[in-house]
Amino acid sequence: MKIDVHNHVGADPAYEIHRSAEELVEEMDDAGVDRCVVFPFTTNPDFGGQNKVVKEAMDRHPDRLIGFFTMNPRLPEMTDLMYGYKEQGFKGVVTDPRFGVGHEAKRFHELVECALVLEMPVWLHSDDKDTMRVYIAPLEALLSKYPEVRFILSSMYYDHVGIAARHKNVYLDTATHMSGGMTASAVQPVGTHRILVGSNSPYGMLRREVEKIEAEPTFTGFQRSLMYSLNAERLLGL
Amino acid sequence: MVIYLVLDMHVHLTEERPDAEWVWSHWPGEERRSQPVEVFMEKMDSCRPRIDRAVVFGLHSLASETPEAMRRDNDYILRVVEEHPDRFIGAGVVDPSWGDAAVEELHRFVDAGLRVVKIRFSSMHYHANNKAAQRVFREIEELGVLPVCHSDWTHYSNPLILGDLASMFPDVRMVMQHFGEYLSFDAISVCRRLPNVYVDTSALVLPKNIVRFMEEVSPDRIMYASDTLSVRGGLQPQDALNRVTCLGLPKKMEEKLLGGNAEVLLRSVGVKL
Repeated sequence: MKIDVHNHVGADPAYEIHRSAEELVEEMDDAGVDRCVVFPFTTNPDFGGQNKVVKEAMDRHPDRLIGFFTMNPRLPEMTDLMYGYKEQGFKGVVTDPRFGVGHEAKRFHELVECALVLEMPVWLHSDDKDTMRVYIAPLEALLSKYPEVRFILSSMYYDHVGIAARHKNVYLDTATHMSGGMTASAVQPVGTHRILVGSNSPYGMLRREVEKIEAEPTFTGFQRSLMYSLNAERLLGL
Repeated sequence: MVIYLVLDMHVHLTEERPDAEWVWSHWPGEERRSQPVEVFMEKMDSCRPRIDRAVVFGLHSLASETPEAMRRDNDYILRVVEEHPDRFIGAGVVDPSWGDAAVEELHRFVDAGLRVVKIRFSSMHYHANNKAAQRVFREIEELGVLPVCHSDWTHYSNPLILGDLASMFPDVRMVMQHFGEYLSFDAISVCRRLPNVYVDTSALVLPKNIVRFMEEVSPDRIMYASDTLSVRGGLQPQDALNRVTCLGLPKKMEEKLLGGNAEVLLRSVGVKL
């Protein structure tokens, strides 16, 4: 079983990319990936419309796609929307610094508290590797404040390995690791049990992500099983 | 005594709202990042030299959660300009991530009389040369208005990537706000190549690069600006003026920098001063 936890479907207005669920499923078949976590492009501010695209993708491919919804903490109706998405079958919530709400903000904490009540993991997504470093202190304060909440920290975050080593409620994806060797270097401080294979497709490639894990000679078969599926199954209650 | 025009090219204004409208988004006791027009006018009058006029735009919708948020900010600026036409030049905020809605909003506020467009690509984590940005710039070119774009050190809006956007639209004059911040040498390099790019001095880290810009690029394409966005703290207009006046520029140069260059540029896009 192979699960890739970082994939986008819908419309990316920044680069005029449109990706359908069917295109993703075709890529999954080519790469030998059984299931994928999908969520909207965070470059698209139309949350309602793009979450609907993900919901339709989940409905068309219930055995292949697991949906997360994106949420902007600035929306006054945020918690009501989150309850609604939970009822629709979404498994987690994605937020991103580009929505303009800092990790120290009241609204960000409320999003996390709502996810806690709904028993959903919170994906801290980012496409901003350079500037995130200035936000590490409030991010770590947030992770410490809510030890019951499971966070998936995008590997785009500066010092994501160090942060995960310090906070046991943090999972990492592999999307920005340039090689399996980089992932291997995270295993000692973090542990294999909190690393998830994630390609960031369509920017990344599912096949490449599998190849990275396969090609790294220091991984045992069990470590690969953890990263491919056992960690995601445990995290998402699959 | 200063007898020429002093014009601040970069000021954020925000509508004063009752506490009940902020309570959901702020921790108790937290100071809001906002500045209503009345507060900034007092600052303009108390500055030395006095600030005669300012280019003003919104703050909260630079990356907007809804298109309505963008419209709300711009409506406030339209009201400010209507009430104080002799002090303020309004700019509308556009968040290009909204696609059709962004273009629609651009046309709406230009139709209402604004001739300046504010875009901050790093707020929405959009690279400044991406497709959405190019689309908005095509509209800007068509409308003949002036884009004023935030610059910084990020990969979204550093001087080089803003320069790439400007090079695609050589007939559009663009203001690279903040002079690249820490990347002011990059800003100088871009402006040397591209005659359609201007800079403002807000948040500039190395003030001596103002002199370098005037000597190596042009004395006509650099403008005083403060980037004031809050009642207290952060960037304030007097401090921004001091950053310029401490250089001891020849009077002619200081006159251009503090208002003359801005006046020429704004008039060229149809702003009535």
